This record gives sequence, C-alpha cells and structure tokens, in this order.
Amino acid sequence: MKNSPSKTLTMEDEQVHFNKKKFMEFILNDAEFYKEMLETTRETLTQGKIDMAESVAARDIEKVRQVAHLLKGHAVTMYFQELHKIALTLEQCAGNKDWEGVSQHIDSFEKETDCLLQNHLN
Amino acid sequence: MSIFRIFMVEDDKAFAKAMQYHLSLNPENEVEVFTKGKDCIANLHKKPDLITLDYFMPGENGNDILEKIKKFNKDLPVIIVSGQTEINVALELLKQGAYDYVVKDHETKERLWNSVNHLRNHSQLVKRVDSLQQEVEEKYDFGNLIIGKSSKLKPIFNLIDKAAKSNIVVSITGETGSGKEVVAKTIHYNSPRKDKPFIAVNVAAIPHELIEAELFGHEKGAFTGALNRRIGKFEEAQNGTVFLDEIGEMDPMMQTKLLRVLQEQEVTRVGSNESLKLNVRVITATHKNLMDEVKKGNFREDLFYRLMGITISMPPLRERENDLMLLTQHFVKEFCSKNKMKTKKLTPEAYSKLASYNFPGNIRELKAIIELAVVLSDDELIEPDHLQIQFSSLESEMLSKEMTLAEYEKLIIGHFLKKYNNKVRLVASKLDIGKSTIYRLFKEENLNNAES
Repeated sequence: MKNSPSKTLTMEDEQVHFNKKKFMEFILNDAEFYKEMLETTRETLTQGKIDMAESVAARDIEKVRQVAHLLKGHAVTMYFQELHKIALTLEQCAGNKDWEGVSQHIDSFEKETDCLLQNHLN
Repeated sequence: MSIFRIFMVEDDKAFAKAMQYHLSLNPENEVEVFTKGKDCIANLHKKPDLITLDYFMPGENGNDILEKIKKFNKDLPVIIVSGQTEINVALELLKQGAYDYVVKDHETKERLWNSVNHLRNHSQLVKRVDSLQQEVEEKYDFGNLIIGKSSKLKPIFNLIDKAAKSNIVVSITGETGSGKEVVAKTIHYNSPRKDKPFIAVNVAAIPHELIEAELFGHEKGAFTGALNRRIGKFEEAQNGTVFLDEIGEMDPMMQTKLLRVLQEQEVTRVGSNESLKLNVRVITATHKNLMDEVKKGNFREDLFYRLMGITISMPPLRERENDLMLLTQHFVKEFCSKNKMKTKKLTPEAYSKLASYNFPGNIRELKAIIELAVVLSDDELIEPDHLQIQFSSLESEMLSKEMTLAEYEKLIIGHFLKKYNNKVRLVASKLDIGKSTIYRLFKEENLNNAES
C-alpha cells in the first residue's frame, strides 16, 4: 500500500505528503508557531475526514465539494502536496456531480489524511 | 504608531492562522479572524481599515458579504482571497468594488503582504490628506487667518463672507505683501468649492511666451520642447478656484485669450482643436490700479469689467492701527510653536521700533522680520537689536516721495512726536532742534496736545 500509515518513510515520501522544509521556511522557522499549526491542522484534518465521510454517506455532493474545497486550501497552506492533488480532484468531481469519480478517489483521500495524521503531524 | 486594523473572513483555520502570523510581523497590523461572514458584518462598527474575504465558504455567499460590507462603507477596501482561479469571477468581483483578488497558493503570503502594505500606505496618505484638509480649513477660517481688529478690516471680512457664499468673480487689490493671496484662499476654503483645488498662478512670474501653455495646457508637440501633453492651471482647478495674481502684468494678447476663456467657460489646450468645458471660479489680484491701466491702454476694458466683480482692497499694514501688535504676537507665537520653542515676547522698546517703521513690504515683511528676530534672540525676550529692519528702504521710500524740505521736516518731527508721546523737550533734544520749531509746527498743524 503506497500510503500505508505503517510504512517507513523516505525523505522523498515525506516531501510528497508534507514538505516540512518548505513549510518551516513559510513560517520563518518559528518552532513555537509550528507547534500551534500542527494542532490546528490535526483538528482540521480530523474534522475534514469526518465531514467527508458523512457527506459521502448522505450522498450530498455539494457538501463533498465544500469539504474538498476547504481541504484543498488547507493543503496548500500546509504544503500537503498529495492531499492537495486528491482534494482538487474530489472538488472537481463533486463540482461535475460525478459520483463515480468521487467514489474512485475517496479511498485515497482517507488513506492520505490517515497518513498525515499518523506519520507526519506528531 | 498607527494601528491598521484588518478583518480576515476565513473558514480555513490554518490558513487564517498562518496569514495572521505573517501580517502581524508588522506591529502596525492588527488582525482579527472571523470564520463566518455575518460575524464580520456584525463587527464593522470597529472600523477596520481592510477586510480580506474568503469568497467561497460553505453556507456563505461571498457576493452578499461583499455587498453588505460595501453598503456599510463603500470606501472600505476588500481583498478577495480564494482558491478559485476563474478570471471571470475575479473580474466580476473587482467590478463590484473589491480592491484586489488574491488566489490561495504558495505565493499568497507575499501577494497579501504587498497588497496590505500598499493599502496601509494608501490609507495613511488618505488619513494625512484628511488631516491636512482639516488643518487647511481651520487655517483658512476667517478668525484664524486674517489677523486684525482694525476698522479697515471690518468691511473686508464682510466682503469675504459675501464672496465665499456666492460664485461671483473677485478682484483683490493692495500693496505687495498685504495679504491678497491669503484673502483669495480664505474665500476658496470657506466656499462650497473648498474640497476642490485652489490653484494660484503668479502671472508676472511666467514668461510671456509660456503663459498660454501654463494657463490652458498644451498637446504633445504643440511647440518646441512640448514633449508631452500637459494640462493647464485652469483645467487643474476644475470645479475649484484659480487665483491669478498680478493680473495687471498680463500682456494684451493673453488678455484677449483669457477674456475668451471667461466668456465661453471653456479652454483649448495649445496645439489642440478640442475645447474643454470649465467650471472654475476666478479670483484676481493686482498691486496696480487697473482702471488707470485701462486708461493708459495697457489693460483691456472688457476684461477689466469681467474681472471686477466684488473688489476687495487690502489696506497696507501701516494703516491698520493696532493690527501691527496683534500680527506681531501671532507671528511670534506661530513661529515659536512650529519650531518647538518657548513663546517669546517683544520688549516695549522692540514694539516701539516696529511702530516707527512703515513696512513697505507689509505683512510679508513683518513676518520675515519677526521670524528672524525670534531666531536671533537668545532668551525669551526680543530686543530692538533683534529686529533687522531695513531702514534704508524707509529712507529710499521717503526720498522717492520727492517732498519739499519743509514737508520732510514736518514728517520727521511728526514721526518723533508720535514715537515719544508728544514730549516736545525730548523730541527737541533727540533732533537737536529748538522747542520753538516744534511749537511752530503744532501751530501750523493746529495741534495743541504737546507736553513740554
């Protein structure tokens, strides 16, 4: 499994999921602020994952689009490169009312959020 | 330090936190984050200087929020921050009054920073302009600007008031330095045109060959050296006031062109065939007697009558009784305040020295003398020696009157008597003349209040 939470990560892998180096530059290497941001992003991803699951279960395509849109912006801020790609795809599929597309990518979305929460944000 | 208050409407907490962190690196920025548009609207009374608005938020309509903000204050700048990159949406929002449109990506921080900086500088400039405007209005308030209580000033205040309340042409006469431009500004800044430009032009200071282009503007290539189009003073003063100082010095050719502009209320730039409609009030000033100039054939009679309107004649300082003292005190106070000095005072002897001078340069000369005296005095008192009065100008002015010796004698004795409170013995001693000479003068002039 490509994004398995238990996988041992290489530097390359890390940058695909979370480009910490760039993010640290973005926040001027402020260690205190980094801690605050980790807490915020954990909350956002956890809530995002729940909201996405509920939206899919409720077959609410507009809600899927909204959650994907929020997480897409969040991923840009946090330098979560893989999540950004997935969220963008989900947003586009939902915007086109394409349930099949959403179903195809929802799995990778869940795996990516788990990967970030378990491997990168500790 | 002036605080620049930024409201950030943003549902992505991490983005809001990161932007808040960056913008707060400038201690002048104070950022407040709202996750709902309605919370931002409810806090508009706090008078933010700028709002950044995430346009696409779940359950919110960015258009509505923008509209409500603009309804509250149409001048409040709103920067739209969005993950969407559709150019049509951005253009539509800019049309609706958004100040800028910033896309959420890795460059957002820099773009937002630049946009906020630009707005902060702009806002500071606007505040500065407002404050200066207020200062100007206070400065040009009748009571603050035209200092004096002499009987000669009262009718002038009355005329200024009438001129300010109407749109009539005003012509101001008076010696150099008597305050003609100050009167023109007072009229403008107390008139309904006060928020529009006041443009002053000294006709005598502009070479004849350039004055048309200066007043009416010129097109690119209209003449050698006209490298660009330039608007003239009349266009610059659109909806405001143009003050033509030393109008009596205008050459006849230009007088004809000015007359046409005033009659037609339109101006044509040099080198152009297109005329532009004008709404400009004209105030003129001269130290000459324009009627005499008309009689001599130096000034067009039709232009003279068109410019006459309300005529305000500024009296020379020497005819303004105790205004000299009031003006002196005003200039001392003003100069000390501007230069952060403790207010100084003139000794009675210094006042006496000022009173003995007739100020051919009027108020402008008095101001210069006082400012120099304040600088020259080492303590809080201004002594006669600090007053650098150019008595040589008095001498040349007196001699230029070409009076008889007897008339000069009367003038000099009269001056000393005034200075020494009609103390005949003292004046006789000062001038090294007999008391009888003075009494003879009294007899001739029917004066009888001398003290022996």
